[in-house]
Amino acid sequence: MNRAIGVFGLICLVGALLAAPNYLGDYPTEVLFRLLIGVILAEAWNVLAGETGLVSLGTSSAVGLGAYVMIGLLNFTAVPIGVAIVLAAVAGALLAILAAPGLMRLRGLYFTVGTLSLAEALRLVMINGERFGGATGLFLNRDSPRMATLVRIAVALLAGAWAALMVARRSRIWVTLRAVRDDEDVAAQMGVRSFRVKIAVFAATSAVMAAAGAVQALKLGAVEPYGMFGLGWSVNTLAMAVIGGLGEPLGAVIGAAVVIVSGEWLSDYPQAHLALTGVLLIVVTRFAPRGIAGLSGILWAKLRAHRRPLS
Amino acid sequence: MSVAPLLEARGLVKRYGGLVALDDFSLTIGSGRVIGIVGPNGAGKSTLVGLLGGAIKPSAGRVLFAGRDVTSLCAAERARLGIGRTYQIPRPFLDLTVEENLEVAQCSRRQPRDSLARRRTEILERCELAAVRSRPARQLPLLRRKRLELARALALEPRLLLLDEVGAGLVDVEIAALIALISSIAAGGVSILIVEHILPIVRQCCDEVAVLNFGKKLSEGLPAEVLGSEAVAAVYLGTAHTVIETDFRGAAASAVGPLVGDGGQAVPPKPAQVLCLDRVSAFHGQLPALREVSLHVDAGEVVAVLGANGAGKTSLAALISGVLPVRGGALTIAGESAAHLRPDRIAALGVAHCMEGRRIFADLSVEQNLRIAARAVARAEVRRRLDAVHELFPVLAERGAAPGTALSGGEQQMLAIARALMARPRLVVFDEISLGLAPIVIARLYQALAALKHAGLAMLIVEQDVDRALHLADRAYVLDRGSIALEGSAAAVRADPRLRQLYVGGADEGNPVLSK
Amino acid sequence: MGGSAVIAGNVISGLLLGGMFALCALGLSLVLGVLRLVNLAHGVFLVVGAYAGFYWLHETGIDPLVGLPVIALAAALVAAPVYRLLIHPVMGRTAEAPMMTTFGIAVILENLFVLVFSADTRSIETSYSTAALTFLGVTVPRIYLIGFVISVSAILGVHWLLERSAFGRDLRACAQDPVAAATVGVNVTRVQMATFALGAACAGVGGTLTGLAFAFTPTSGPGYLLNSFAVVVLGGLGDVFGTLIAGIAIGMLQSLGGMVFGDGYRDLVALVIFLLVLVVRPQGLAPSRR
Repeated sequence: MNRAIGVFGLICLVGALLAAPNYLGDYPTEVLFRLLIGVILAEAWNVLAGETGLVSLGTSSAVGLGAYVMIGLLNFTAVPIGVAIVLAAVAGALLAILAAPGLMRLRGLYFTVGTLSLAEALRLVMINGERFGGATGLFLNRDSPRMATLVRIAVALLAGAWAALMVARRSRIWVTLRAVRDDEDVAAQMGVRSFRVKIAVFAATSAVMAAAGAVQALKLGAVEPYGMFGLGWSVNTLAMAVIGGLGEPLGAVIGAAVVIVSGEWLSDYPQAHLALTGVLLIVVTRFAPRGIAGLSGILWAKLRAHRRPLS
Repeated sequence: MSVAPLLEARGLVKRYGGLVALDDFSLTIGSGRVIGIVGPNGAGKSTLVGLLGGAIKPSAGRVLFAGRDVTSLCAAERARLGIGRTYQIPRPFLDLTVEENLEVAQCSRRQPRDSLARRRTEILERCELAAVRSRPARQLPLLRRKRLELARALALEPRLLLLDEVGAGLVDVEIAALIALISSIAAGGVSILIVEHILPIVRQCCDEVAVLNFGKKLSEGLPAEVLGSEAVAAVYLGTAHTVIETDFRGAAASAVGPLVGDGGQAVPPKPAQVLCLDRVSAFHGQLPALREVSLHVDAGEVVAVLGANGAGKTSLAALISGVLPVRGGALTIAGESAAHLRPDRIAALGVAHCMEGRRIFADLSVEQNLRIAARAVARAEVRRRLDAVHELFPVLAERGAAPGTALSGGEQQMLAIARALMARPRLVVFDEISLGLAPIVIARLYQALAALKHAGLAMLIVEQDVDRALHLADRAYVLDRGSIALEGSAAAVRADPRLRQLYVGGADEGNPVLSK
Repeated sequence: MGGSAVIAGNVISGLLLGGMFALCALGLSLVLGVLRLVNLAHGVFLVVGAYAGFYWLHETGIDPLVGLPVIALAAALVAAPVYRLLIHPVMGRTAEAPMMTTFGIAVILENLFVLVFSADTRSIETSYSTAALTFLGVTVPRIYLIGFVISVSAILGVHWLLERSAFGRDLRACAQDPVAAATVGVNVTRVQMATFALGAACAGVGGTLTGLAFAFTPTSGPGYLLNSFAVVVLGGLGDVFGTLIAGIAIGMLQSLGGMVFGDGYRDLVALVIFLLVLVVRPQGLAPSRR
């Protein structure tokens, strides 16, 4: 019953989002697009770190790869946009699977540093590789779609990610992710093949991130290594997921809203915004380990406990 | 035609660096059999569970399960073949609900969802967890976490269950319920290996028992025979060796002067009582480690703390030195309240802790290991103390420049004792200094302790080797599952028949002390 | 003939630079070894050192090398309360919490620098920062040699501190067994704070030297951090001489890599070494000794 309501609610939300560009002005549509990309990335990162315990600073490697593959496919082949996005996602998954044998040997903090260096290494390859446009990057050889279309593509991607997440949450595998995060050794002792579980999650989330990068590239109409492989993607994604609440179902949405909206508010001072994000990150880590979503959950529970004697 | 055994361990060896945790151990577990493993602390019991479960890789030897060599298989693959285990200190997935904990263990089962759900319900009801099935495991109290350990292992549908100290931290009623549960699991045809120091469980559940000591199998047989034998009692009580009588009032006693007493620096007048615990409790996470323990040590007094494995002896030592936080009760050191002080503040109050396992700093030389404990003291005084400990243990002077861990086990223990003395403490807590050492070395160490006693140092001796400790002590306390079960003068405790029961348990009917 | 001189020049440049790399990485290694903390703000600390040198020269007109002790002291004095107030309260909670906090610090500092100092590329310009030195036909930048001498001296100084002083003894005890160290009377929190401060002081000096040798921007931090990480992984945790040798090895490999593949690939060399070492050593950065 609850599930039916959830699915219905989600369908309504997706419908509203698809219709939104018709009613919104240019600027709100643009913000909505950023918000959508933010939510997609934060959801993926939340599954990776919040559910499975793999704290990654390598978001930019998947985003950047997806963006480059997208532009490459559209420029040099005749594949339609939808197929190109899927292929970009496949590239993201392949990157994860190729990097996994090395990275997954590292536990905890070392995994984090490993992902960071992978991202930097890819960026340096892109800057130096003339075939990929070097430091100037590549331009899309046609016009980008209209903003409204881009928003709808992003909505479709998010809806797909959410649907996949719902299916995954219902599957028997899901509980093993959290078991691996909680205590990998005990999970192994219960028959969980933790190595495979981690690779599967890493590949799936990397695919989603690469698809987001592909949509972003489609919007920009150009890719260059400093932006698409920049640490900014990793910082923002991590900040959104952590501020919203790791492992919390609404965490990604709340976190993305806070980070993107404060970013618009401080749009003239992007550095001030990032510094504020850093402050929020420290404050949340210290005082609200389960993020804003976790904090509001606690407040809500308190409020209800407070009300109960009255009712 | 004999049936092949379910599990066979052949010549298992596990070395950690130079330490041999398990040495050439072989074991056979027949289908449907319940085997018990007993032995003192550090005998290698938990290592054995790790080796069979696949969490630890053996240095040598093989493990066969259901006729298949599983030595090279990792823990996950062995679990899928049907080896389930529980942990001594429960390790539930804290953020998962009770039922989800079981779902993890079912991850390898290829069955329809509803039949798995039915099976979970069955197990939860059997382990009396059905009422809390949708609560996060984090919220469960200890007893229920212990049950969850068992329930989760059962959800794996194991053919062999490895139970690591499932009884630790439970009270009598809970143990009785646990015995009933284990018996019913065994009745369902599951083979069980029980590693346990709560002997009533072993006595009532097991078909066979093996005794481990220093990583080797000492004896095996029927529970009644093995647990009743003098040899096993000796392993627990430490009478397996002859006490080497030594004259300790010789030259060494004068040497320790600079380490004890008031000479050399001005100390406040000696309080009559150096240590006092008033109804102190402590926990390891949720496990109660000590329950309302009251104990005191007067100036110049030597007090022994005895008790079986897991009775709370080392917890007591850790609590006194500030490593384990006090939860309830009062801890007073030399007249000052010390319940919430950091370890380094407690050290400054004059309590030195010679920790279990020696804890020598491998990166520091022998001399640096000694100097580090003499804090905020003039150079000349440090020199005096160094000379004194060198006279007590000359080998420390000879090997002063060597790295701390280049010493032999006995020498390392000497270093640990000397390091505690370098602080010139009011009270030294000696925690299991005889563990894993040869009798001749132990005699040498106790000779030094006797000299220190003679010089007037207050000591709290936590010791498995009952005979040794009582030989030196003025008074003794015996701990049983976190509470003091027996106290009095050393002679009175030694003569008390309950002492043996506390270690080995009653011959057949339960345990009079436990149920008093 | 000329070719071999160029190769020799590159090799020696790499060697000299490697000494600086080692000093830059030393703080990261110490903090990781003693606090078991991945200090993601370490790269930004190096950038702080570079700006400190830049503004020291700008404001006082005195040679930055003279200001090094002041910069080191200031870095330590600022880092100690940062550790005590921001990092220490989350230490022992989860493994990620302290690292996340250092990450937050890195993000804040990096962006504050852009706001305050602008994103412009800076370099500390002195008479010797661009001058070349020719010896036996081999030409290297003079600052490389100065940086090497100062770095190696500083590393030897830290080595002496760790091996001979009471603080070093306490530090090594805390790195190995904090519980036992506390029980013998060491104030572990204070030692941890001092280690963090010492790490920052090394970063301050290393950063100033880097700023003398190369141009830098507020966003140079992550690159510096990863370069230092490569040195730490290769050299072993908390091992001072290992760090020096690893720094020199990476400096030389970078120079050779830059020579063979082109200058843009210099930084990539360190990253590739880093990733390879991680894969070859599955225990990651864990100390090899027990």
